Amino acid sequence: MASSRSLNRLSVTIKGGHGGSLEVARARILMMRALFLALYCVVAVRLFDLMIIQNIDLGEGGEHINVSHFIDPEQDLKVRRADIVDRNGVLLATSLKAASLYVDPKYILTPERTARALSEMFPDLSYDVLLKKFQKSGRFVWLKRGITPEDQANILKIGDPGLGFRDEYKRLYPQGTLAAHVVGYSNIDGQGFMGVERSFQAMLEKGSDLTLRTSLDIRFQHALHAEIAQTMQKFSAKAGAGIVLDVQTGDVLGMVSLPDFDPHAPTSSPKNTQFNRVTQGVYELGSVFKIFSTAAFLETQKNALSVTFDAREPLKRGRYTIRDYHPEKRVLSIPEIFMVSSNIGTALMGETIGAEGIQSFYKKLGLMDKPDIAFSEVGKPLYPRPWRDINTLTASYGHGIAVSPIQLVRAVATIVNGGYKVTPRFVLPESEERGQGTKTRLVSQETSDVMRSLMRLVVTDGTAKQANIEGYDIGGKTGTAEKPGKKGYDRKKLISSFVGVFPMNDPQYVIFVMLDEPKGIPETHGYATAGWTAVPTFARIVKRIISFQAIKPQILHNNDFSQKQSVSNIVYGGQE
Amino acid sequence: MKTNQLVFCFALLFSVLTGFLLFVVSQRVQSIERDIRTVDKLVDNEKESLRVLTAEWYYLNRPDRLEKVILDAQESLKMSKVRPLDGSIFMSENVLDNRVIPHPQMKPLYVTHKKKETPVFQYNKKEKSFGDLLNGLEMGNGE
Repeated sequence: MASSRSLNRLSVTIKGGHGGSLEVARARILMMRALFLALYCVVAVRLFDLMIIQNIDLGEGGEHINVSHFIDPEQDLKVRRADIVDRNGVLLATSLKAASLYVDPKYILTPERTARALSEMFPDLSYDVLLKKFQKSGRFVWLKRGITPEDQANILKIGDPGLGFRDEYKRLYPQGTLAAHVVGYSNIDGQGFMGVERSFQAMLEKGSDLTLRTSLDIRFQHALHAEIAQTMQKFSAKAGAGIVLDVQTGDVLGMVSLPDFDPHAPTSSPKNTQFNRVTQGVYELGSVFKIFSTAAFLETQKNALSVTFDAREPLKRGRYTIRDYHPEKRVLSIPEIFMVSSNIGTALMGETIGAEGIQSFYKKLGLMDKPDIAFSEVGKPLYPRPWRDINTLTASYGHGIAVSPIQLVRAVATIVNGGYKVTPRFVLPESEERGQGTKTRLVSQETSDVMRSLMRLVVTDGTAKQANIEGYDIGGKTGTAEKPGKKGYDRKKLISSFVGVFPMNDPQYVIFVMLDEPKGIPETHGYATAGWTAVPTFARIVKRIISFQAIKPQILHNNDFSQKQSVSNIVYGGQE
Repeated sequence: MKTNQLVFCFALLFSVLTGFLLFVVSQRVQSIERDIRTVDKLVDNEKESLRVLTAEWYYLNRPDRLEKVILDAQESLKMSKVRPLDGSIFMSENVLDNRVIPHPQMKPLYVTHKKKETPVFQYNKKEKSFGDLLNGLEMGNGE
């Protein structure tokens, strides 16, 4: 009413000199009214937009709670750790966003109720510990890291303003335990603790634009893992290990150390499961070392294949006596010594080569030094210092010198690939053609050829007949070593191993299988030696590889490697 | 005086209009920025979902799991365990016969001469060629 009266008063017309001023005032008031009206309209439209239109958009999900709206926007999310894949792009490790729960004790409204609700939701968070955390003086306390979206939604339903979330990256290993020792693991703060995760920490933490491509092939890995685990169970072995190496490039296609651990919860497994038996563990591997002593003999002696050694009696040197496991009790040629795995014959070969010759050859093959590989867990070989004469004899058949399986396969790859140095690698370069780069020759081509024949001989006529797969030229060498105990070597505790190569006419893969303390079973007549344990395991692994790699069999009549290389000539001088 | 008032009115109108336009532009910019943020967030969410799905794909395709699934379904699917080919099933080319396989002999579709005793092509009827065996029915004998 008052307003209308004032307006009525404005409608009064004043004649004279002041009439113009009144008109101006009226016009100004009108304009101000229009201006304020327009402003109120703008504010009303804006409010309508914010409250009605945008509110409809937010509520579009119906009853679903969009948990991303409740993530602390002020957080400083770390760079996502790079993915790790195998050589074919199969995902081995990735980082996924996961919310982590924290509490701001200042804003906790109902500590008891909230603590009870949380402890019911997460049994690992106890009520009293939560209450204690709610009473802390600080403004930020972690409660649980890496929770699922479902749990996050349930926590929001508690409705306590003191609870908050921060996004973090959680490392996930889709292959589980399968490649645990190769890939390793990292914690929630992005710190690599083992394997590739640790070895390539600097590269991985650079971010998700990168993808680290390992040399691993998950199919090879599975073949190794499944077969070694099966054999371990069958022979109640304490541990097992295996590796598949590309003899040309040195790519580690598979590497297994059992028992293994879950990389998602590494601390829940016993500590010794994290021990990498392939790269960290050093073992006296026994007769597989005859590959190197025989190669050394061929390299250093003239007409080496025509030499024979007397293996009729155990070899006595000082207070030591060297015996054969399966005594032939006759004079043996070099191929026969290798084929029947004669310790006496090999020791005599070592004696002929001499301490310096054996040591320098082993050193050349990288058996005396810590391997120079890009991997964090690497063991150092053990050998006697000072080196005495008897050590030359024992080291020639793999006793008194302990190396890691990766060192062994590297040296075997060098022997069979034509004599070129091989460096095992776990990560593939960005681009590389096979056979690229300069090669360093360590062993002569002739020695390499003869050694391949001899290794083939072990499978066709020697101690590893169970590794013979018709149509495929497989070669190798068995090794059964007694483990050192408190009073010398313990005859009941064995390390049974087999190192095999195939195909022998054009070697591609060197495969090593090792079993720690296998126990004999009735099926093997109580034996737990390599021929009964590691060799059949190797054969099963090779059968799997042949299947998934679709490797064609050799046509025996034309391409039998053993025929081609005249093994019978080597062993029996042409007379069978 | 009138001119001044007109100028003032126009200036005021202009400033109000400009202000309004600026307000509209500012609102539009804010709205677009909000849209961009929303789209960015959606893209990020989709990328994250893709990462989760990729991880899940490889988790479900673990070799040990696939092997177990196949073994479980072995009987119902009539599948057998993959084994390498036995080399002995292949034979050497030396074992193969060196005989030359005769070329198939084709007969004409029709003959112009109706005389039966004078065939166009001569061949030994006793020894049928490989071509006859294959094509005899389709080609007919020209009669």
